[in-house]
Amino acid sequence: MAKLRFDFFESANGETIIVEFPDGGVGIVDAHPSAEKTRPQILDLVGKRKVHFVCLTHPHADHGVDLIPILRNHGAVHEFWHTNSDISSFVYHCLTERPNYPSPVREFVNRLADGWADFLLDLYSSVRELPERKLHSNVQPIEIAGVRIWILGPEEQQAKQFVETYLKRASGVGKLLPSPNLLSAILGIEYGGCLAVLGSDALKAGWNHALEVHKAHGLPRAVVLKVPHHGAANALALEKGRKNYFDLCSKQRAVGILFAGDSKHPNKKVFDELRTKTLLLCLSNGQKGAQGPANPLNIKMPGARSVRRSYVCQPQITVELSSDGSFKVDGIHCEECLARSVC
Amino acid sequence: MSVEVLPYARREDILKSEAPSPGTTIRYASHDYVRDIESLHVRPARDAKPPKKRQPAEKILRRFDGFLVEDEGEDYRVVFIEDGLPVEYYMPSSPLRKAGITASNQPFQVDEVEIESASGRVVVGYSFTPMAKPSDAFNDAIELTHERRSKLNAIFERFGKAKV
Repeated sequence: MAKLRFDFFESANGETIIVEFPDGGVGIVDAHPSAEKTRPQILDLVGKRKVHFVCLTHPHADHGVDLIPILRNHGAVHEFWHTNSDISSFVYHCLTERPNYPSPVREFVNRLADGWADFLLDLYSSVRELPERKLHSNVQPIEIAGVRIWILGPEEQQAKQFVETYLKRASGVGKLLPSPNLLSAILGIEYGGCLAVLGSDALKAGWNHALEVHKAHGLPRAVVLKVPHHGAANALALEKGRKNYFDLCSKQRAVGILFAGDSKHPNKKVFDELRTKTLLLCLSNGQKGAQGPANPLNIKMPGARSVRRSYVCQPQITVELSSDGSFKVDGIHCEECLARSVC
Repeated sequence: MSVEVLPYARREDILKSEAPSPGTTIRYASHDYVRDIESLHVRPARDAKPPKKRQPAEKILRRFDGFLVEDEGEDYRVVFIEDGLPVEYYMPSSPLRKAGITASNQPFQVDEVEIESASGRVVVGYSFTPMAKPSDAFNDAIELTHERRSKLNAIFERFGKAKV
């Protein structure tokens, strides 16, 4: 029976999703740097399979660094998907206009900004002649080998506004730059009457729009949810009566795939909600605490914690949707976590 | 030196011989368990000096430099510099915002302060001070090496010219 397969990978530095279509070709939705070697090298993982698309859901290094070798070296990539309405201006401003201050930490600010700028330069310059597809919710669903891909977000206007705000603030003084998470693509991948939602790092506003698009197209409820933004509190509206991403999910059989990010992600309340509302599968266990001490500077202030990568308990989870509407999950047997009743 | 030792006297006799002091009188409600107590005299302590009022004392324990990276809602993502190395932290945004630390890359100093209150209680607190105002920002352009320039040109060729 024909199948649509999702391989979810996590290696404490971000996330990678390989979507294998019924024709044997793949789509790559983000790829993180696999420093801990818990995921095979990205070129080995993809092998010689046809790559229908390489999708950067939003320009953050933990989602995009390992897309670079694919774009540069694979040779059989058909399209580059992204959500940035003006890549050239965005990169130019990130490079040439970075706010800094006369202070002893100036050098550190520059170092951080250099890393961010080099990531953007490496990534976008590797696209070369590949056809691009700008993703936003006005784009018609994309058909690949009998699979329909809906773009539930971002809203076109929101994406444009992000870049405009970013450019305006970058060239102004003393402003807080908007988070690139606002550009996050929300993909609804439909096959055999089932829907899988990949939520990248979309925030609450993005989900409000995705819910409208989902309803407007009369799409089925999702059986698979890639939990957005590593379970962050700013992605899930928990206030009573407010809609959130669980309203996209099947109440009976949704599977939540959680890529825990760091010492802040997942949020405790979000994690508890996920455990109640989905059969939760973790690619790492944020509840167990991150790698290394949580507070190396010993700052005695409630809420202060260092940004540490999460402990990885389960580097790969595979979900297969069949054309008859059934689905199968592999890779949930993590002895350590089962013993602790976490995953 | 001589010491005069008085003959032993019952406590009740001593109390009778002394006139009641002008101390505070506390009258109790007539609950059963205190019905025998009609009143209680509290005498001011003789020769006792009033306790010295202690001034709250502050001592700086540590000082870090840092800068704001990103707004994460209730938290800010910041970088502290410790022994010349950057350490990334999530911090509650409210104390930083109140101190006027609101802009990307804005540098600040944080003092870990030990405060001893008037009652002698010791607490540890944090005091954030911006090292520059948001309006002090200047543009610190990246060094456009040949490699960076050629990548940027490749991006312009592929995605069009940038709006400058």
